[in-house]
Amino acid sequence: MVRVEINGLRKKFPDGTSIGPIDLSLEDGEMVTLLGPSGSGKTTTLRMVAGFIRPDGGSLLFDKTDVTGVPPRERKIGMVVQSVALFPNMSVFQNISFALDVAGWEHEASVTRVEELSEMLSIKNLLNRRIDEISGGEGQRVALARALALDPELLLLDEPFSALDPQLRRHLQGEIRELQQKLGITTIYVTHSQSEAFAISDRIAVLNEGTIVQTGTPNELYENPENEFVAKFIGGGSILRGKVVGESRGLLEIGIGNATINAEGTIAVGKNVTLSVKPEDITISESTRIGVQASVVSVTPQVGHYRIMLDIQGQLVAADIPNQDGMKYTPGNEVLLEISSTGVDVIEER
Amino acid sequence: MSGHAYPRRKDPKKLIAAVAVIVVIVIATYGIVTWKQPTFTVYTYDSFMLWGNDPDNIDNTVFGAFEDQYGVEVRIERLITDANGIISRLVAESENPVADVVIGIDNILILQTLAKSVLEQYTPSNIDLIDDSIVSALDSDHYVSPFDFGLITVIYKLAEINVTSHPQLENLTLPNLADLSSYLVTENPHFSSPGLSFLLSQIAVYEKLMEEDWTQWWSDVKGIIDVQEGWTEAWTKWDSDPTRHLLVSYGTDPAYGASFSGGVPDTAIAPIHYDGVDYAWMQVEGIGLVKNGPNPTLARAFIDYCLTSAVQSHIALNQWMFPANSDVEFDPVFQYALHPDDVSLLNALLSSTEIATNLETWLDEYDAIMTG
Amino acid sequence: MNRNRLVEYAILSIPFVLLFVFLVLPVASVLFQGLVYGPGSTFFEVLDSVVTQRVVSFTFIQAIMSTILALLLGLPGAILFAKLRFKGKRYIRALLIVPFVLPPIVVVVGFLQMFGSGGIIDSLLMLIMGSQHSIIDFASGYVGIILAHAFYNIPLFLLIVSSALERLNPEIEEVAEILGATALQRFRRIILPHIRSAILAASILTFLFCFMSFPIVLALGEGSYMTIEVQIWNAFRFFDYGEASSLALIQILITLVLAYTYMKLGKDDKGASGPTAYSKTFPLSSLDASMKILAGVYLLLILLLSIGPMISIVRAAVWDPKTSLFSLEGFANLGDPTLGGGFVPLVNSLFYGSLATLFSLILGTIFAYTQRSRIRGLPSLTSMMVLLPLGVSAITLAYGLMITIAVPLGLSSNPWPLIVIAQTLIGVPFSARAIEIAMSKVDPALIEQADSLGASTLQRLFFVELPLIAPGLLVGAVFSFAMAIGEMSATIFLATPENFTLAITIYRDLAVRKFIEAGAASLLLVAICIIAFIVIEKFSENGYGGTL
Repeated sequence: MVRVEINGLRKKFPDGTSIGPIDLSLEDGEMVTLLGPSGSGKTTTLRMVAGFIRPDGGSLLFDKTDVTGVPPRERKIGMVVQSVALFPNMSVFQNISFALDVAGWEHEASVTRVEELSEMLSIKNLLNRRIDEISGGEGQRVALARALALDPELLLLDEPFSALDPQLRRHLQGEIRELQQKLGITTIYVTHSQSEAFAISDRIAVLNEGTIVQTGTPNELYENPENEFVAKFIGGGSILRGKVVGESRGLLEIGIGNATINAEGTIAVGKNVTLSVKPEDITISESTRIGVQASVVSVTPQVGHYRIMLDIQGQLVAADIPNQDGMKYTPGNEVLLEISSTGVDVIEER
Repeated sequence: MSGHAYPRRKDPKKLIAAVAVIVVIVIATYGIVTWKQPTFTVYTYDSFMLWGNDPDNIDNTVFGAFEDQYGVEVRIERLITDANGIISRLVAESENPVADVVIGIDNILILQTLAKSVLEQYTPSNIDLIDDSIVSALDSDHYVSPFDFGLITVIYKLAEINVTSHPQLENLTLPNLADLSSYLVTENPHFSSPGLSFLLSQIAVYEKLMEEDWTQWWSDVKGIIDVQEGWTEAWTKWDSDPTRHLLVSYGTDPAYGASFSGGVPDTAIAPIHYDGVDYAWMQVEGIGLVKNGPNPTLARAFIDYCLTSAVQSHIALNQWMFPANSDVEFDPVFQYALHPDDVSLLNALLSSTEIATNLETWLDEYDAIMTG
Repeated sequence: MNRNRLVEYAILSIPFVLLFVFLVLPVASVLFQGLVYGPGSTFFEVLDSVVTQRVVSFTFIQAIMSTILALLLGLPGAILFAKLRFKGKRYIRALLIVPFVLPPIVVVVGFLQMFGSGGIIDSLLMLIMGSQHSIIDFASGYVGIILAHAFYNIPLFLLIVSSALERLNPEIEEVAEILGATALQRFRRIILPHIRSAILAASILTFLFCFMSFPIVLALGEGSYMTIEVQIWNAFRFFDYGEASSLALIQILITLVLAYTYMKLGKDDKGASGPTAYSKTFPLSSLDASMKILAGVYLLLILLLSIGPMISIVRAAVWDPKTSLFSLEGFANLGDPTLGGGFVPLVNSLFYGSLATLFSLILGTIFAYTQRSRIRGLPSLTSMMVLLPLGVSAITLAYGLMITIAVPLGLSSNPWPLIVIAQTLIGVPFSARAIEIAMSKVDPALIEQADSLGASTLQRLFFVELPLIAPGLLVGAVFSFAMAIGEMSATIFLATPENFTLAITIYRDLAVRKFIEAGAASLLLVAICIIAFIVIEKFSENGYGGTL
């Protein structure tokens, strides 16, 4: 397969938005996810890699060859997009065999290849169907088969499953990861869903406002977010603003209004800071005296726990409380919180 | 599963090549089949000599003797236009003329400088076959020589209207005609020689006989009269519209009708009348030598031939005009036609210089009235 | 890769080069000579003339009114045709094209017999009202001109708009319905934005068509109305090349301004249509009673409009007014291979028409690409060039082709290649518009998929784009063919008898009162038109079902 190097790709659109510079490299056979909210530039980045958008600057190397000026059709890529974009004028078979036919394969050879692929993706029974006769999930498999037909060196997946229901989506995520590892194909996956990114990626590049803000394995990102955005987006951690008010027993004391939170770190007293607190690191204290004062804003049941939104001195924090405890609270309750000091990330504001 | 179950794709390059090959072959075949050897060419208008019993063989009948005598094929190119259109074509072709002779340029068109510019003056050796009066009525400078002539007049459908129902048809003055203009179809003077002849007739009568402003007549009939593009359109409208009974046409029309129905005509003639005299405009159609044509010697011989009775005797029944050659006798059916002897010619009232000088102004004034 | 780019640029430049050589250059040389050397009036004399001013304003107003009327009459039909299934739909569609292929003189007679005083409608009214006198006359004067223009151009709206509607994703409309949108809201919010570009295209084509109108105005205007085109012919016939050129220049300038406005209007059009799909159709019986009556009345009216002229044509083909007998002589004449017969013109019509259709589809397809090109100014240039053939006076073009190409090359004695060129040019505005609209409705994701899967431009075109734009191609082909086979003005000026087409022969035969021959030829033209329509439709269905 191929090693991909994205060096400082950038693009400015007429409406003023700009993307980049983007720097990212993919090892041969690696699956990297571009994760970010909508509008963060992940699809644009993918389309620059595919060649549909001509970058204003920077370079794109496949195995050290500069492909920046190479048209998409010569890049040996496979691409699956959310809308599937199957050719409505062709049968399933003709969709899958498209790349083979345009590459000049003999008919018999492409029949063998299409049947092999369709077996792998369990869609062999669909080959003679028309496109409007298959379901959404089948459509994604066909699109995947079509993208893989000619053994592309790079697979680009742009939110391929976001239109599907969650169960089917999870199922296909697993399948695609398996397939990707089996084929060892270098893959860029675009999604706005953190859970999807975590489920299938070797590494994740988090994008915000047109640039990559952090790249790393899912664990690295989760454990050590380098900035507020990553912390929030990856960990789902709540962001609080405060001021270092003191130091005791090696821990910083950070004042948030009248409340105080302890955290690890070495920041001078008096500095303004941003805190990132992960929901699972907050517990509601059984004691009635020690802890950070907060009031319950909302209680939402989730799988295995309750997501409780809390108000600390006017700032919102999310906490995940296990089932048996969570159901005790209703909005308006005044509670005390215990926040584990190791679970708090502190960043000095500039 | 068998591979044959799946459709195959065709290579677009092969498809394009196949289409291209077919197209080239078809074009080449058509080009070769329709390839034209240069021959002796006569330009004329669409309906030239096609009004007889056997229009398909008329060229052979009329010009066969000339072809045999000179060992040349004569191609009569009937262009779908009138003489004005032919002059335009000759002007366009003047760098590299195709035609040798042109037939159909009439006594008004020849007054145009541009018409003269594409013709070469030639006086046929047998010009004495034709009355001097006809020759000078057409063109005394001999750019064209008379081929045939006819009278422009008003005709009407006898089934719809007659002298009993409308006594004014008996002595139809132009003011009478204005009263009847809701029945009248005429031709656009810009697009048709009968139409222009009618306009000149009307101008001649008003300006020279009645000594009144000619434009008044058109102001009176504007919006009531039906002016069609050309003679064909006018005739079609007149024929198919049950409210239109009168048509500006040729004085031989009833004779033509009688000849083809085999009985008496279903149309009658109402010449323009003024002060006890019937009037009509005479249109003389000429034959001329194309300047720098490919076969000038042959062309001169052809013009001479066209003035002989070999050609002239066919004009009456195939062209429904009067032959220029006065020796030719007419078929009895011509008793229904308006004869030049029956009327006083309006041409005499407007000199060629007067027409040449004023034609553009008259037409502009006509436009201003009609679009106003 | 560089070489491929070069080839692509070369192909993209083909239509521009051809239009430059065969349209811009001939017309420019006529205008230049006329304006500079005359003979005749100068540009300022022409502008100053009160007749010119009247003519220009009449030309404008009648064209606007005709376009509005054609839009009002055509739009319901377009929706009906796109949404309803009923027997004989394709035949009605084919019949509607017929006026384009017949010589105006034939259409006008049909129109008179339907709408004129003493015509079919008038006679019916007289019978109902018990009146002795003619009650209506819709076939003369201002009213007649506008009605006839609308009648001519309804098919443009019907076909162009309904082919766009057929591509409206039914899901969008269904969603809107679920969300509680009323029929009117759905029309305004969903359908109208979707067909906006098609309506614009049909409107500009109709406008130009009426703007350039010549025989209809002369036939129905009874001498009191002139368009700029009529005045150009007037001037040209009396060798006032100065006036003719001045007026032609005015025409071209107006056309260019229109083309520019159209382009600007079209730019706002996002053409959001969702994924490429087919619209759903419903049988006539699924409508509720009041809608059924409305649809029925409309269809009846359309049928009347399209069948009216047909009745007179069928009658004229077999009934000889000269002998008052029924006869098949007219059809026998069509097999006559001599110059006076109908066989050569038949072959010519089919040959020129097919070639012109093929060429204008090819040019139209390339233009659809340059229209979307990222090269600066190219889309604007395309918009102008595409509409130009409709805005150039036919006589100016024919005369220009004659003096700049035919005469120097010695082609003027048998100028059939120029006839094909003129017929191609007149079809380009229709094919280019139809194809471009269809292309803009193709989901760009499909194009990108084809690219990412390694398809060359040619493979993408043949396997993906052409099958997807088949309905647009069909409309383009039908109109190009109809325009070509019915082209009279330029063909008449250029043709020698060997090059006559059926339309010209009909005119020639009528001129010498060979009625039955003209009738049979008219009927044959109608038949050719219908057959061509159905063959092209079949082709495009197959194209879509398979992969071409």
